[in-house]
Amino acid sequence: MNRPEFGAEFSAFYGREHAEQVRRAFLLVGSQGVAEELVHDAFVGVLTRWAEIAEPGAYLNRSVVHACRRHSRRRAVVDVGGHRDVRLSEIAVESPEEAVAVGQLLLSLPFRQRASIVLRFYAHMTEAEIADGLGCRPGTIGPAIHRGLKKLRKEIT
Amino acid sequence: MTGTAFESRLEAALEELAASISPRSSVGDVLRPLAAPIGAGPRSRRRLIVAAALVIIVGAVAFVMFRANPGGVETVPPVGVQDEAGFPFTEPSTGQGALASFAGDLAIWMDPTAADADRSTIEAELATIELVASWQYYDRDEVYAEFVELFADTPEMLAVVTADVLPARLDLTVVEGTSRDLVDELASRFVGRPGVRDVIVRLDYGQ
Repeated sequence: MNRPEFGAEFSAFYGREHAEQVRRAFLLVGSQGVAEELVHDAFVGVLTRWAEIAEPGAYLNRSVVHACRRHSRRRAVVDVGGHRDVRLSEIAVESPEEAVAVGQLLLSLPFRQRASIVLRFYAHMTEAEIADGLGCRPGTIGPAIHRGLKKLRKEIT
Repeated sequence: MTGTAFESRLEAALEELAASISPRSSVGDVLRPLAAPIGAGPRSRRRLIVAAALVIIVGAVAFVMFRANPGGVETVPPVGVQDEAGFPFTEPSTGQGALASFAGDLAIWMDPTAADADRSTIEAELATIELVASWQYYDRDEVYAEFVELFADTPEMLAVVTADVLPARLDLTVVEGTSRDLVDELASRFVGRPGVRDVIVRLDYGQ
């Protein structure tokens, strides 16, 4: 692949994927600023391995989900570039009450349950795709969704 | 309530939440660090700056990114690498390292093939420019050392980037209070000079 093609392909890929990946990551980490940082870094990873990655979309999914999981574990302090951050727990103003409650409850779920729910009900991915993104066996996704839904349903009636 | 009805409500709520943000693409905030001087931000950003320069210098990719480019910044996306364990998230720097404390206002990246005379010409000229408060020259070995420091946890990057592809750099600090316009003018003065690959002004300069 020559360089101009590479550039055009990557640009198109970025254009297709960027906003949705940020929204997805936002639901997983609860902060727009952090989501943008993590997604940005994931794109950097894809860019550097563009020639060797067979399915950049799947690779990107894995990278973003993994980065979100790492972030959730570490609760790292991330510089969001000085702009005002948007946090899932603080967006009550325009959103309906139920959406806000869902957002806050999501953040209280264990990461795998939260990610399974977001990838299933927001990104509309199959269980196999979710398992690929999370790096776990497909058989574990159904139960994770089930448990997560159960908790959400208990709180939201 | 049936599971399906609940799931529909859940989908609607997630959609609502996701729609409440407007993701900012590279051109604004993401490209911002590319124009900042080395040492001005967290480590991840410093990596991007060095890597962006690599893109410019090595000529690996020169792509035009989507949409307008309001800042007038070189629209070159950053290059970096994930670590083998998977993942690209980096902690903010603690500011360690030889170059970490420097916060210049613009950087003149030389060509890898630049001659000593090219540098001498530029430095002689810098000495005559009043609004240049100071500058520091980093030779190719120093730039490489900085690169190694920044990408210490990324062996793949270190494996493919060798000292011979990295160019030297002049970091300039201008007299305090110099207007943005004058700094831009100063930068443009060196663009296209023999031996100069690119001149980058700190994007938030003057803000």
